[in-house]
Amino acid sequence: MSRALRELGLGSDADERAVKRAYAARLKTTRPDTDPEGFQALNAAYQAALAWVQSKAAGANTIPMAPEADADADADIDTSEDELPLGSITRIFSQDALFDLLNADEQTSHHRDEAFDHTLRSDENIHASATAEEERGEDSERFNLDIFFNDCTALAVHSRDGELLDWLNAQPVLWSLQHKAQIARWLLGHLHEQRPAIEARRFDELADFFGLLELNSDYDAYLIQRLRHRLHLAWEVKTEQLRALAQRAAMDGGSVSADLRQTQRILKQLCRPANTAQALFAGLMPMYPSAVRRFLYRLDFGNLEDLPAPIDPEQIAFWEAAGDRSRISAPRLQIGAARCVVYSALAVLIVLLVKFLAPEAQLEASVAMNTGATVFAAMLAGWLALIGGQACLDWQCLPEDDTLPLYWSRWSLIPFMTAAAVTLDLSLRWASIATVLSMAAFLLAWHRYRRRNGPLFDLAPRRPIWSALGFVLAFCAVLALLDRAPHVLVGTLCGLALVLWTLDLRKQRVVMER
Amino acid sequence: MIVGIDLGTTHSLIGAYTEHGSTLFPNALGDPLTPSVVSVDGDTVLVGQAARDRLISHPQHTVASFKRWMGSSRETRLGDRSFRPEELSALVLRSLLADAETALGEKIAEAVISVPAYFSDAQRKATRSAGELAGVRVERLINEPTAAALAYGLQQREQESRFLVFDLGGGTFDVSILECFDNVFEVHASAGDNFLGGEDFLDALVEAFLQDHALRRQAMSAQEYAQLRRRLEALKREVGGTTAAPLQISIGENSYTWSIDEDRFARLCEPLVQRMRTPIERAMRDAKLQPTQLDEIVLVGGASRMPMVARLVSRMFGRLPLRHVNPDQAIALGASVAAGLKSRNAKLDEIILTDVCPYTLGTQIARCDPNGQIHNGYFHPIILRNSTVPISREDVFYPMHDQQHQLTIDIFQGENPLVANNIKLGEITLELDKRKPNEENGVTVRFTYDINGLLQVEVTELATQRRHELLLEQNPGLLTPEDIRARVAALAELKVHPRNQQENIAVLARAERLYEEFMHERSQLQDWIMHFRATIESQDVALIERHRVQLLEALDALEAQA
Repeated sequence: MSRALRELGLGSDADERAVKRAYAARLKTTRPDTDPEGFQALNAAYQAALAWVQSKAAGANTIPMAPEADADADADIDTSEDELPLGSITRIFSQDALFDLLNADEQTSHHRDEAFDHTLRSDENIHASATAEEERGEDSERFNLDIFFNDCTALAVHSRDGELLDWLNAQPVLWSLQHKAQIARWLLGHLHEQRPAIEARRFDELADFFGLLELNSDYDAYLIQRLRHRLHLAWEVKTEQLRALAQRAAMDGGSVSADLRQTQRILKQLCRPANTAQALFAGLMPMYPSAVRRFLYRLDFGNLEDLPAPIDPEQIAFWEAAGDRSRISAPRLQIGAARCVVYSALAVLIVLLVKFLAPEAQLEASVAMNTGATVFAAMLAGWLALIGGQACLDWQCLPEDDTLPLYWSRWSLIPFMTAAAVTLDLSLRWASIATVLSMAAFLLAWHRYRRRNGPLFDLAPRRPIWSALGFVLAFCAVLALLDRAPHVLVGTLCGLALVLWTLDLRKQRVVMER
Repeated sequence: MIVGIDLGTTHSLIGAYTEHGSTLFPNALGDPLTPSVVSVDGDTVLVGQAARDRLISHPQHTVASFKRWMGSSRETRLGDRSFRPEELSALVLRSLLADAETALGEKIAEAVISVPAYFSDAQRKATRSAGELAGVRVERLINEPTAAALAYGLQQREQESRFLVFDLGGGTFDVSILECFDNVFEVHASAGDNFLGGEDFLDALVEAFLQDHALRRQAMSAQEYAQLRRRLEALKREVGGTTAAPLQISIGENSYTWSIDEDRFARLCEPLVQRMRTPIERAMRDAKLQPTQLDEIVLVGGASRMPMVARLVSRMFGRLPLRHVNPDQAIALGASVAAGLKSRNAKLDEIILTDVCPYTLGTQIARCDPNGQIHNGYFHPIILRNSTVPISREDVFYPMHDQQHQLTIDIFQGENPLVANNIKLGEITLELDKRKPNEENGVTVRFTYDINGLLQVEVTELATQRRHELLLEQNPGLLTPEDIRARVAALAELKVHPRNQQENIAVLARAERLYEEFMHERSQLQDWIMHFRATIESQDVALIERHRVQLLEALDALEAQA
C-alpha cells in the first residue's frame, strides 16, 4: 500500500488532501489523452493511495468508537457496512437502533433543509421542500419496521404482477438513498431466515427495486441466486406447481417423471408426517424408493439440508437412505424385508386361492407353504446378490487411490477372477462355472473402465442393465457357435477382461500422477 | 478553432472558447437555442425555428426528436427522400456550423460534440458519423453531464468539491458524480436512461388529454396532433408555476377546454419519476458516497425545471438542488470549454478532465457450487463500469474439462450478473490442445477501453503465447466509410436558404403555422402571407425589413390575443 504512496512521492503519513494534490500535480505531465499507459499507472497508484489513506482514517475513527456503538448509531453502521456476505446475514443492530437512526436522520435532514431554505429560497424550491417535509413528517410517525416487513412479504407471496412494485415505489421511506440501503440489507436477512414462499418473478421485482443484482452491490450474485431459487422452490412446493416440479425431477431430459401423477404422489408422500409403517407400504412398489430419492436430489441441486417447509425432514432422511443403492442402511433393509414378506405372503395367498377355486387339482396345504418359502428364499437370495453385486461394482469403480484400505484386493480382483476361471475351465469338470466367472470378470472390467474413463467406444446404451442384457445375448450366440470348444470362449473373455483392466489402470495412473 | 456543440433532442447549441471564456453563437434569428427540427421543402432544407413551425403546417415533411433513433438504422421519409438519423443530425450540425462560421468569420473543421453519458457504442459512433456528414472532424465526444460540470466547476475552481449533475434533457436522462480539486475534474460515476426526458412527460400529458376527451390519436390528422402537442408543451412549462391557464384548443369541428393542476400532473408523471430513481441510486452506489458527502446537486437540461424534479431530489437526498446555472446552456458552455481544452487554450492549460466508461464489459463463465454442480451463464466483469478511462484489464480463464478441444470467449456488456440479461458484443473461439490437462490450456483475455470509448479484445494462449484479436461484429445500425462518402455527396445537393433569408423564412413559417391554428383568422393570415411573399420577390431589402417587422408585430398581437 505504501508503495502507491511512494509512487506519488509521498510519505506514509500523507493525508487525503496530500494524495490528491500530488495526483493533480503529476497529471499535468501525464495526461490521459496523450499518455494513456502512464496515466493508467498513475491512476492505479492514486486509487490505491486514496483507499489506503481513507481506510487508515476510517480505522482511526471507528476503533475507539466500536465499544459504545449505541452512543453513535452512525459509526455502527459504517463499520458493519463493509463485510457481511449474504450467507451470514444476521441482525446487525437491534430494531430500535435502526428506528432511532431513521428518525435521527429525518431530524438532521429537516435542519439541513431549513438552513437551505434560509439561504436559497426561490418560489419553486419552497414548494418542493414544503411537500417533502410534509411527507417526511408523516412517515416518521408511521414507519414501523415489523409492519413493513410483514406487508412486504405478504405482498411478495400473494400479489399479482406489478402490485409489489407499485407498493414499494409508493413507500416514502424508501425514497431516501440511505434508508433504502439499510432496509434492503434487513429485508434480505429477513427473507433468509423466514424463507417465505416467493415466486421467482416476485423476487426479481424485489431484487430489481433494491438493486440487489447490481454488479457491485454488496451482495454476492451467486448467493442471491441461491436465495431466489430456494424461495421459488418453497413457492412451487407450497402451491403444488406439479408441472414445474415434474420438470425439475426430469432435469437431465430423461423421461423419468415428467409424469404429473407420479410427482403428485411423491410430493404427497414427502409432506406427510413420518410414519414407518406407511412408508414401508409405499416402498413396496418396485423402483419407488429410488424415484423418491432422485426427486429429492433434483429439487435443490442435491442440497437436502433445508428443503422447504411442508416437506418433512424425517421423510427426507428415510427416503434418502432407502433409495440409495450404493449403501446398506436400515430403511433399505426394512423395505427389502417388507417386500420379501409381503411377496411370499402373496405367493401363499395365490396358491391357496388356486386350491380353493380348483379343488380337483388336489393340492396339499404344505405346497402353499413350500411355495411361499421358496419365493421368500429366492427373493432374499436375488436381492442379496443384487446388493452384493452392486456393492462390489461400486467398490471396484471408486477412483484409484492407493491410500484406501484393501487397495491391493481391489486392484487384484479381476486378475484373480480370470485366473480362477481359467483354472476351473482347464479342469473341465467346472466348465459352466468357469464360463460364468469369466463373463463376470469381463463385465466387471468393462464397467469399471467405462465408469472411470468414459466409454471405450460409444456403442453401448447408457444403462448398465441394457448393456448387460446385450452381452448375455451376444454370449448366448457365441456359446451356440462355440459349442464344441468351450475353452476358446473362456479364454477370449478372460483375455479381454485383462486387456481392459490394464488399459484402465494405465489411464488411472496418469490421472493419479497429475 | 475547435467548436463545442450540444446536439440535443429538442434544442442544439454551438459555442467556442474565446478570449472572453466560453461563448455561444446565436443563430440567424438571434437565439442561441436552435430547435433540433428538420423540414424539407422541395429540395431545400429548413432547420430550427422555421422547421419547428412547419411541424404543424407540414407534418409530413418535418421531423423532430431524431436523436432518440441515433445508432439505429431507422429511416425517416421527408417528401421524396428518406433520411437516416445521422443525416438529420448532420443537417442540424450544418446549420449550427454556419452560425458559428458567421460569428467567427472562419471555416470550422473540428468540433467537440456532447453526447448523453449513457450513450452506447453504436450511438456514439453514429454521432461521430453525423459530424463527418456535416463536414467536420469530431475531435472528441464529451459526456453531457461532464460538460455541464465543466461549465459549473469553472465558476468555482478554487475550492475542492464533490457534486452530482442531474441532467434531464428533452430525450435523455443522465446522472454524473464528479469531484473537482486542484483543476482536476474527476468523474466518479455516471448512470442514465437513454429514453427518458421531457418528451416523455409531454407524452404523458397528451395521453391524459386524449383520455379525458375520449379522443383517439389515429382519428386526428397529423396537423391537429402536432398542434395539440405544441399547445400541451406550452402548458407543461406553465404547470407548477403560479397559475396555469386552462387550455383551449379546437380539433376538427369541436373545441375543447382542458386544465390540469400540479397534483394531477405529478401523478401522471409518477412512473417517469420512478424511473429516475434507479440511475441515481446506481451512480451513488458506484461512487461509494453517502448523500451527505455531496456538496451540491446541480440540475441541468430544460426538463429539470419541472417541479417534480426538485421534489425528487429533495426526497432522495434530503436537501434542495442548486440551480444557478442556466439549465439550457450549461452543456453547450461545457462543450465549448472541452473544445478549448482540446485546442490547448492557454487559459485552460491547467485543467485536466478524467472520465469513466459507463458500462461494465466482461465475459461469460460457469460457476461451481459447493455440491460440485456446475451453473452456467454467469457474467464475469473485466472492466467494471465507472472505472476511469483509458483502461486496460486482463484476466486468466481455463477450460472447464480435460480434453476440451474448444474454448469460446464471449464478450458481453451489461450490469446483470447473469449474461442472459446483458448485451452480447461478440465472441471468439479458440482451438485447444486436447492432450493437455485443462490447467495448462488457460488463456489471458485483455480488454482495452480507450478515451473515445472504443473496445479492443485480445486473447493470448498461455501455453503457446499465440495471440488472437477480436473484431467486434459490424453493427447493422452503423454507416461504413463508403456509405458516409456517398451520403455526403447526396446531402450536398440539398439547398439551404441563404442566411439573410432565414428571418423571412422563419416569419413565413410562423404565419403558416398560425394559419393552421386559428380557424377564424385564416383569410386574414392568407392575405398577409401572400403579401409578404410578394414583398420578398421584390428583393427590396429595406421594404422587406419593414414588412417583416410589421408582420411580426401583427402575428405577436394575434397570438397574445388567443
